[in-house]
Amino acid sequence: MIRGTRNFLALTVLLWVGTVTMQAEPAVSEKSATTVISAAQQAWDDAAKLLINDANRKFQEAGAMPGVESREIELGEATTLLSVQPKTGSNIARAETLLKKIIAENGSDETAITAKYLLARIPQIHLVVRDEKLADERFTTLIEEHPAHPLAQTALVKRGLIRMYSLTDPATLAERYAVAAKESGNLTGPDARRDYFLLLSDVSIKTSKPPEVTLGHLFEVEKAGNLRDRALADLYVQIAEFARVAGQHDVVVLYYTKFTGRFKRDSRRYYIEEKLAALRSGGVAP
Amino acid sequence: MKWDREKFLNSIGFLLLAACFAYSLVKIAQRRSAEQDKSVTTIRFAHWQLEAGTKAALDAVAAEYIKKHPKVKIDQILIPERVFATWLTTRLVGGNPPDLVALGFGITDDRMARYFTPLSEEVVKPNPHNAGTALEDVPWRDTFIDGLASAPGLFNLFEYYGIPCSMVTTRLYYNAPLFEKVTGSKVPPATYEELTEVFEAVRVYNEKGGNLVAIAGSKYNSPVLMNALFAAQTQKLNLELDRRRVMRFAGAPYPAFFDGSFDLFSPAIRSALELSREIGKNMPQGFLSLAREDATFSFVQQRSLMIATGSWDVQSLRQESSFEVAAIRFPLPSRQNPQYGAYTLGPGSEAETGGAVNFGLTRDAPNPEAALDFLKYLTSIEGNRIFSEKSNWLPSIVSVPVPEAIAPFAPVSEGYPSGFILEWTGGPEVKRIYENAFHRLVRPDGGVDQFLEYFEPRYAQAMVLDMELTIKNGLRTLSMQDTTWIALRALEQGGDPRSGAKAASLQEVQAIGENSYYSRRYDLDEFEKKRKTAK
Repeated sequence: MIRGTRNFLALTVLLWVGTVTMQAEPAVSEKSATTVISAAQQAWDDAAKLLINDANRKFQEAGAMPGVESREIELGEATTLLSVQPKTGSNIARAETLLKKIIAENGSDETAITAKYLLARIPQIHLVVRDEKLADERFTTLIEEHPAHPLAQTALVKRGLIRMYSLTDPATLAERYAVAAKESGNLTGPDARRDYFLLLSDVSIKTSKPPEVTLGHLFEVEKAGNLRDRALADLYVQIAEFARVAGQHDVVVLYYTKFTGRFKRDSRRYYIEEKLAALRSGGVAP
Repeated sequence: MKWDREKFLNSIGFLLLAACFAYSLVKIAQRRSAEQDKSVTTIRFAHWQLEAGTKAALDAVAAEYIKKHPKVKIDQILIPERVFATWLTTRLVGGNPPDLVALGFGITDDRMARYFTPLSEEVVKPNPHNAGTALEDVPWRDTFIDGLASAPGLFNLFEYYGIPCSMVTTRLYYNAPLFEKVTGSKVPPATYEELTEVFEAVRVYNEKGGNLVAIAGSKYNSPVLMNALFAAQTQKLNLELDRRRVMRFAGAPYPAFFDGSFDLFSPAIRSALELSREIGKNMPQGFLSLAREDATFSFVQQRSLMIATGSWDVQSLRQESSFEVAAIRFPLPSRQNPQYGAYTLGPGSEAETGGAVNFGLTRDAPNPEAALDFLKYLTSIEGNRIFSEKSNWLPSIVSVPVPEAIAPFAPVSEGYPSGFILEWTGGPEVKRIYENAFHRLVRPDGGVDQFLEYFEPRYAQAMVLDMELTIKNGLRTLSMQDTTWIALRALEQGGDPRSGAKAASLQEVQAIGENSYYSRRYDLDEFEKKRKTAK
């Protein structure tokens, strides 16, 4: 009798513990999820502040939490592995494995598109022995699969750089420039357009194209916008100077006026004011 | 009782030791008691500005602040610049840094991010200590003369981490009474042509029994003047080489060298080297082996008539000299100069003079709010005026008048874009061979040809090595930026618009940097191909 009562009590306690545990389980998971999100946030925050090794450790710790299988955590780990110091081949290889896993699980969401972008960047700039042909192929895949996505647009610029400055292509720089200029129509995102036309303007100068051609590219950069002050000041000066060489007097005056109106503390200002005054009076700038 | 001299002296020694010990105990006890007084907040700030007057000026600002905040105590920690980095690293890593630290020695971008608090949200709010002034409603950032354009952290981290309380310029100081005695005039030279007349007057003075050097030279001071003169000689050349036409000193000779449009036989380079040699002749023999202190002593002991250095030395030189010390902008060759005029545009513009003595707020600051408030006071109209007047350092705040004593040091915006310095046309390797060759230029039996005989055959290889290093460093930066950019995008997608803005800026910075990286790699490859063909 006593034994039966004791067994009954033990069973009751066990049932009660089991029930409480089962009820509590979702709360624990929710807490874990919140912890993981918060850990990821902190890790991204560290990475954004150049605290890469700290960020990588946090992503690894978050990934090691029981029951966590977040693709974002894996993306974070892969992203930070690319810059963890000291940089090692095994870190880059692990990053590549993680990125491929993310893409294999779901190839079309934001996380996967970011993974595809980074997967192309690895042979372009992260490997000790770079493989630009492979990078080109991976960028091409990204561009074809998600043409309007901002990362695919950025990929057009990065691939443009590879093709333009290839060290193995037998075509001349001028020939590559001609091909790249035709592709500029594929760029729809403003930031990517800005960056692509910056590339074209630089190469047009390198290949001694007429000033009007360079000017055309520089106007496109201005149209795309979103330039920081320093770059915008340089752009205004470049436009005015190439316009001067092209004999476009009105453009020179317009852009030098824009420059002096906006950039008060620039070491070129006084000289440009002199140039403007000379232009307005029909003289020659010093 | 017999007089025991040894015992007596020992007793005095012991008493002195005991007195020192007791004094130390009292000081430590006082400090402990102040620290334990919870009603008193102690703000500590550290820097390496040991020049005369700086500590007193910062003390004066602190005293004025304490008058308004009697429950605050402010301690300055002065650490010599030679050991500042080591000291700071220990304090930061140990988690017990002072509240405010001068940013510079020992601070890299990642350390700044790790150990300092970004002040970006603060700089867009008005400085409360400017209440009742013309800057009352002006965002703190816009109250600085340079608009915090060169604030530490802004370029790579896109955050404001440092707040400057001054600005610095470089000038040619001279001994005013001696100048008059030697030259017979009170009017200082405005151009290089007039400076050569001063050199001639010094020569005549020495012939009559004087023993005077025209310009105090040293490894530290000489480049200050020589670089300014060199850069003035390459102004027009820099514009010619600037194929991107940005008219900014942005390493134009670097790509120009690799595409073959720049070499060391350019007349402007020869002219700049000749000018450096001329200046060197008017410095003491062997000046390259002299230290900064040697040059300063030579000037204050009236063995030199002039000395080139920065505005940071004005108070020290005036305090240590028994004569009136005046200063002028560097007298540069005018455009009419028959020998040097053809290559110059005119005096360089100082419009982009950035803030100096930047203080950052440490993450582990014991009293961050109080320290930030003090920093705001230091850079308010009132605080910065007190600092500038007492230290004779330039103010960093727009409405603060430049004290008359330092008026010659105020940045002059009217001027032309700078040229370049030969030793900076590459990187560390070019700098190294330039330093090795330089004595051939300035020694009495040397000259431009002797300099070039050593420098020119080594220049191409040094440029190649520096280009390789630049490319390697560029790649490392790009690689790091990838991680940061993706992180900023992730934070933006998590709902942080500030990260979005930073991501956009970083994308632009990376695009410009990557253009440059690829372009340089291509240039180097083409250059090497040509060299192989030529061989």
